[in-house]
Amino acid sequence: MRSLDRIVPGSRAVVHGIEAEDSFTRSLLELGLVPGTEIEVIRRAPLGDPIELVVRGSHFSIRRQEARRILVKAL
Amino acid sequence: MSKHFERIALVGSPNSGKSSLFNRLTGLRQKVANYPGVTVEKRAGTCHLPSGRQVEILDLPGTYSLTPRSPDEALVRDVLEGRSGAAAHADRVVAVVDATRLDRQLYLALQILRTRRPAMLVLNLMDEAQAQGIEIDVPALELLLGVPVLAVSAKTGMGVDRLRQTIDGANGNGLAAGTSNGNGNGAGNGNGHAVLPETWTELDPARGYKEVESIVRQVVRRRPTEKAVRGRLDAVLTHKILGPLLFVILMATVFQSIYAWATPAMDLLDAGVRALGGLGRATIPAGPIQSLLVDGILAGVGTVASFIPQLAILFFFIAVMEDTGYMARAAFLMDRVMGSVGLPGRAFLPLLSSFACAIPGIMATRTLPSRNDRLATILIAPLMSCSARLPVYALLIGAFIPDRHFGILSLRGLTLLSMYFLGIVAALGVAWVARRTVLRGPRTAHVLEMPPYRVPSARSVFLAIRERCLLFLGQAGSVILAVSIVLWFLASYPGGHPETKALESRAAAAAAAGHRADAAKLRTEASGSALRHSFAGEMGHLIEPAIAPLGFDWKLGVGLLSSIAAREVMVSTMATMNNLDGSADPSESLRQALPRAVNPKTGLPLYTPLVAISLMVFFALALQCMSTVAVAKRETNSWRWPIGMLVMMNVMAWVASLAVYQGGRMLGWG
Repeated sequence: MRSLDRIVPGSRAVVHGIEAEDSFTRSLLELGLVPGTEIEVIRRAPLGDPIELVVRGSHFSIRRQEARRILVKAL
Repeated sequence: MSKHFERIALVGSPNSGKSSLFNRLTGLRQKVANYPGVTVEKRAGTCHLPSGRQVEILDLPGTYSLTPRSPDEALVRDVLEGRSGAAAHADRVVAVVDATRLDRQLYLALQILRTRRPAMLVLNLMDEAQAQGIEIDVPALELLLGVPVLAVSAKTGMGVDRLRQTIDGANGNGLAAGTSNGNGNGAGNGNGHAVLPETWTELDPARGYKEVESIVRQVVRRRPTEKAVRGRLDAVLTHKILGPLLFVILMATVFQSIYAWATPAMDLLDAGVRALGGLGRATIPAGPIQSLLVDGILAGVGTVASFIPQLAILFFFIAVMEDTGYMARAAFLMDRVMGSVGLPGRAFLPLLSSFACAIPGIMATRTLPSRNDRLATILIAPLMSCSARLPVYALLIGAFIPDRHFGILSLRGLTLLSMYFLGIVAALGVAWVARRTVLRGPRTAHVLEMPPYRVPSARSVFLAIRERCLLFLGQAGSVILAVSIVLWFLASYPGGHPETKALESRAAAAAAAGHRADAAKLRTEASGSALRHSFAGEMGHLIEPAIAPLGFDWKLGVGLLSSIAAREVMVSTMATMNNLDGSADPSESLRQALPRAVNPKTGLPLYTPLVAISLMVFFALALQCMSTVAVAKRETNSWRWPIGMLVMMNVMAWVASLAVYQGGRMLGWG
């Protein structure tokens, strides 16, 4: 188990859960990052932040600060 | 008028092609305004149905879910829930989803259907889905959801007629057209959804996505495969080195185009306004009416019109960047850099545009999804040194800064550069402070979609440009025109001062005697005298005590007042004030005249290099431009922000100029 920002670009992972409950947690869940969802980290921006990932066929850009709260299992 | 029509709201995610569909349905019959009481933009238009009936279509802001993260998203929820306090209402809802990405977008559709509003579902971008080999069983989806489902492509127009028919048929006769399965409860009666037991707030995301997965399994035949074109384009456009490089080239092109390429069009408009002015002078008898029409109203119209080329060019680039999907990549590249001052990556473009002019820059902030980000960007946009400050800098630098060189660096160039830097540094400081005070609050989490690359449609680009220009003309334009007329009045009245009259009659006498050069010189002196003895001149004297500590005399005060119309007007006003012909090339003659001006009381030079630097610092930091104020009012939908900006920037400018002038004198530079 590790946080999403530790996933090497180009590899896949499965969402385990989201740390620290707040209003943002629900937005992450509603974007489709519910437990069990397979995601792929595509790349990092030139300065290392943010990160591009694919969730359910849609690409999203997420900052490392927020990615840190998403716990995943590397595949 | 729109109250008589049934109102239908389009709801969907950003990048679901919702706005293209809106454009398809309404065409040129659309209008943009603000919702009362909130800073959310309301886009509405009318649509003719096959029966001849008209309905009003409301394009609600794009949202990923009904749980609001911003005022825009809260508005969508309020409209869908039919809250009594909502700024708008909708009789029926059309949920719009991207057919190529049902796996994610159907989630919002499920929430929408659970609001129990009479609804239908549009599978947009169907042409793309077909091209990608995605087959969707539409009747099966209708059966599962219990509402009419339509396969549409807003881009090609496919299915749009059927959508119109369905909207038409679903009302009036009480039958839900499009539901051929006999389960026709969809639009007329919202309570019959067989598969939707709970309300949307009770829908847990985990279960919601399970439901989406189950529906997709039942109705979608081939899984979407990511098109290779995206991967190849992204590999270049977000590449570690190539990405930023291409971004810089693109931004340089945008900047160059609003800074320079808009000039021919602006010159043409200016020539047109001048020609009309000449016509006015020739046909309307000289007097107050002619003066009001030509120098007041027409000049104001000219100011307003001069912004249109820049606006049109900038919004062309913005529309293309948004519609192709590049804007999301640019934000991805710039997010870290802009984040260091608490702004998102997308704030880069509005700020860059502001170096040409703050008007298009502020209007471009609407690409920022978060309210706080947007307000912070609007707040600092006028601190970017706009092109209207350049004539003032050029005049003062040319007149007072020696033409010295240090190697390849010229002192004049360095002075100009430092004015640009001063604005940027002040902007960063203001953003930093604002983020910790008035615009504090939870940092909006930035999970932004990076949509697939798409070819922009000429229709959408054209409509976006038209929309922005009309908005500017309608709302900011009227304020700018009104202020221009007030300024004209202040500069022209009360008039009839004995000195002015004497000069005028001497000019007439000289002209009658055939001394043309003398007559012209006397006429110029007469206009100078008229301005000096006008209300504006008196106001210059009135504000002199406030600006004297900065090294400015009352004539500069009149120049500052005139720069409210536009900063560059300062140059021609100073020419007139100093008895120079302000119409030809005021900068050239002023450059020689200003250093020679003498203080009548002390006999010392009136303007020194230190005064020039103090004045440039003032121009770099002050918010004089009423067009900026008018646009900020329109974009923030309140007077609070523009007034706050006026106070903040002008106090900052005053203090900085005071420090420069008094500090310089203490060091013996005065």
